Amino acid sequence: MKLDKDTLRDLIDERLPRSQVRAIQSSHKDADRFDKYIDILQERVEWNDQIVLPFGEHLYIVSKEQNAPPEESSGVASAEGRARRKSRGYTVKCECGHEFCDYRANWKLEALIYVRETDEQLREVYPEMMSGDSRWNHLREYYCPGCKTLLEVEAVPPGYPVVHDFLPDLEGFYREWLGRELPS
Amino acid sequence: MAIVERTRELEPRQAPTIGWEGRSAKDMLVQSERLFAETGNYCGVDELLMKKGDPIQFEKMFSRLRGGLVTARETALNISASPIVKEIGELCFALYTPEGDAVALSTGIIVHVHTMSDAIKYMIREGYESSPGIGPGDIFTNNDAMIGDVHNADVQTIVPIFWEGELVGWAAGVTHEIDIGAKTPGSVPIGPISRFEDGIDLPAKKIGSNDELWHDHVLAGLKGTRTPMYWTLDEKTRLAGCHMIREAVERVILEEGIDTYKQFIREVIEDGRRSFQSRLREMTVPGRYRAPAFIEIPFAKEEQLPSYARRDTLMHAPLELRITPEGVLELDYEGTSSWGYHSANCTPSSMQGAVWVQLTQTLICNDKVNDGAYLGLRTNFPPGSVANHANPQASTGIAWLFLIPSFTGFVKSLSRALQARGYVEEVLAPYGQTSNAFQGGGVDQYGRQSATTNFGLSCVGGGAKMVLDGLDYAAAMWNPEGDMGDMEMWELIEPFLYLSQRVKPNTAGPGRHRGGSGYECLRLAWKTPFYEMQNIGHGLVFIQAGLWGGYPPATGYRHNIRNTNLLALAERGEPFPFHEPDPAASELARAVDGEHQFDLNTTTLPEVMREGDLYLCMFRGGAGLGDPLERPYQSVMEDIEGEYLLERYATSLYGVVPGDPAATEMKRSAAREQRGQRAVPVREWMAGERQRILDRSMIEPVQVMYAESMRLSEWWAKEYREFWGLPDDFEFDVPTPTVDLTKALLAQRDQGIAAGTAAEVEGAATTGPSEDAR
Repeated sequence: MKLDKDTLRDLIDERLPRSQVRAIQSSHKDADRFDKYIDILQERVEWNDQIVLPFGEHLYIVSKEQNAPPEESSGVASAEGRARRKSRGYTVKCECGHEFCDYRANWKLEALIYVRETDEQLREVYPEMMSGDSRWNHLREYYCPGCKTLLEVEAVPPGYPVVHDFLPDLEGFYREWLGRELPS
Repeated sequence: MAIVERTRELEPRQAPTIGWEGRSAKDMLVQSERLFAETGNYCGVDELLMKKGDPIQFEKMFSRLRGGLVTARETALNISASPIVKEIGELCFALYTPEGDAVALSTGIIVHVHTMSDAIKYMIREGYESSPGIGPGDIFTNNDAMIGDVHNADVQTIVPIFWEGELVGWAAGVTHEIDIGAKTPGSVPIGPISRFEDGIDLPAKKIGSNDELWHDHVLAGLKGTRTPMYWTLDEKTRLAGCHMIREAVERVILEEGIDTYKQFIREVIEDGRRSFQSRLREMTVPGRYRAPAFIEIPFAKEEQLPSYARRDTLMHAPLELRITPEGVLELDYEGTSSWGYHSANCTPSSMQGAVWVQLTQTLICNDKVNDGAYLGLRTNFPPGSVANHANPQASTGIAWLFLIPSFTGFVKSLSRALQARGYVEEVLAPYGQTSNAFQGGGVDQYGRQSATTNFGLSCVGGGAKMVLDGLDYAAAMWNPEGDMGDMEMWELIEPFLYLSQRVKPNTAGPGRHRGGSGYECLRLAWKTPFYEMQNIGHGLVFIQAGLWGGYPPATGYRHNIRNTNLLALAERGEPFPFHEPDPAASELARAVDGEHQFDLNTTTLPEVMREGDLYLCMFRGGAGLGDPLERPYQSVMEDIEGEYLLERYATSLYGVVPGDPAATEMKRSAAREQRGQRAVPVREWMAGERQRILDRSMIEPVQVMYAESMRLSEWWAKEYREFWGLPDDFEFDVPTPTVDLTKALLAQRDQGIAAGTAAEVEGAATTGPSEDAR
């Protein structure tokens, strides 16, 4: 389905009728969607760093020239050592402008956290009897230190490692799938 | 001499070969797998000559075969009397190559497309062409999850298709039985703790010839279940469907020619493989995605179980999904909890089936669905884990209790990839856990012995989308074609009246877009002297959180009341409550006298209910997406008005002051400030959490969960210790007896001891690559 940039903008902004959303869902995908989406996101942020990859709501991987490599002291970073990558200079950045870390590290480790594990804390979100038993698991809320937006929630048992949700293969994606170099 | 001659008569005769060009089916299977390993293409098909040369004919043949499958399903289901099959469509049919690879499938419970493939390949590998023989008119059946199935209740009928003496394919169909004759009633029995309690056992058996079921098999079926009428008619449903498929294939061969048909079934599977890889490249981003899920089995309280099974278990499904730059999708469950003495164990076949269900609703949601996509997948279901119990004695009666949560991470991870590519309309937060399962058996309102599994459970809340709220009480991603059925139909077969069926507030996972809402039914036991009712659902843990600030859907609870005064209230014409919108202010608890089970014990063995007792059946919602403080004011107000949300949560959760948009803005601003005040840097929090681990300051089921994952997987143990900076020898000092047993079983396999047992363990263990890929 041919989906022009204005229609995509309306789709993102939820201005399309459900019937049209349904038609877009069921149709063949527009091959240039990625570039159109990046363009729209880029024109909406208030900073100039180039968006390399959308990274969930409010988060982006952007091209930056002065980035430190990920900290190798973290167990997560060590696990990432197996992933294919050589590039540097790509940072996880919030829409508000707050910069977290190199994209290869887990941005959550640089976030603020609030853990709900008492009845009083859980009652703000769920009615009585509908939030499980906090001895079995708890809720972790990860906020952006800049704008305090709630960026992720984890529901895990106590003692569970911070989940590294997504480690993209940026080089593989750009070079092998898009057929072009990563933006510098 | 005479003795020698007579002895020779007893020697096995050479069975006629049934494969192509004088080969055996086994040779064909071996060659097919060798060609794929060598070329990366299905059966070594390099070019899609038929598709390129005559694309119209190619599509026409596919449509005719698929049409034959759909027609078989839609026609055959009318033979059934079971509401699960006839009303809500718990059946499907598929067509396979001679080697057992799926060519096309009908609509329906598509989880079984690959499970039946496993069953066919098992029969071929085990030499069924020699004994018991595979010939025209033969009928086979299977419901063994270690061979190729999810659990015993999914019963398969498999019919070979011959053309001029050659095996040209297989037609297969599956129906979900309403009762499988297990230790406890229903189709997903919660009671079994070993395979010997899972009910009717049909491990890839020949059950008929000359297109007719053997009488001894029919008689055995009548004796094996609590619902013999449904069983018998379901068997006829499957057989009729398979024969319709066979006719459809024969018509295509007659008109197109056998050579064309043979070429087509090769090309269409290779086409499916290529199409899957293309979709992966078009819509996702290569990389590594993680999304662990959890669910509990709280059996420590179940006094009727033997001591070794009487324990609380937390199951861990640490899904790691990888998409390689080469366009291969890898699903890795390394670190999954151990199998257990319960009925929620899974096999590779069931896990593969669950992958299928997810793929057909996401990456391959087109008509050209077949085993091509399977060839584009790599999986690791570690032997000894609950994802691959690898134990010939383990129960799989309610494998779905693990399957369903364990794949919530799939859709969540895939959605991260879809958003990164800009396909926002496809993004979906995790679906709701399928529960509560209203299931039981006893004496019904007609005075007969009966059993039921109510499929209201297949209408839980869907996950929130990026551009819409989740579907309310509308779907179950594990069973996309199933629906809840009509209340009136369930009331016909269950001795329980529906006093109500309505939205359950706050079941949806909150978020900028909320998940789909769940619902609840209040059921009144009616005209039954006894009916054993179980509960199945999560009450202690959240299954999986939402996406990007979206919360998990609410957990559930149990509220069943025995020896009530409800009928007395009704007789006096006095009001009585008929639902429970807010458990914190329960009218049921206040106004109905009786013995209340009002707690978080949401997975229980059956307990007797009688006329006048009440059973509250609460179905869960889907996960949310995005920060709840960004949910539009008007949407929150509509949630309150529609009774999706209790009003007090408008403020505490969404920062909305009902009736005052301006005050809402101020409230939301204050809520963000409050977040900053009470949150701490993650690394600071980690120091305290690390100490909690060093102190082992957590309940035993959680410690056991970690211990099982670490003892079954050195890789996961290393990850865990490294993340928290723990000593290299750090362990949770708790017993993990099933891990020990697995190690003994695997050692037996390695040593080639106990040939029968070892073969089964080995078969289950070789499911796919893991370490290299990781």
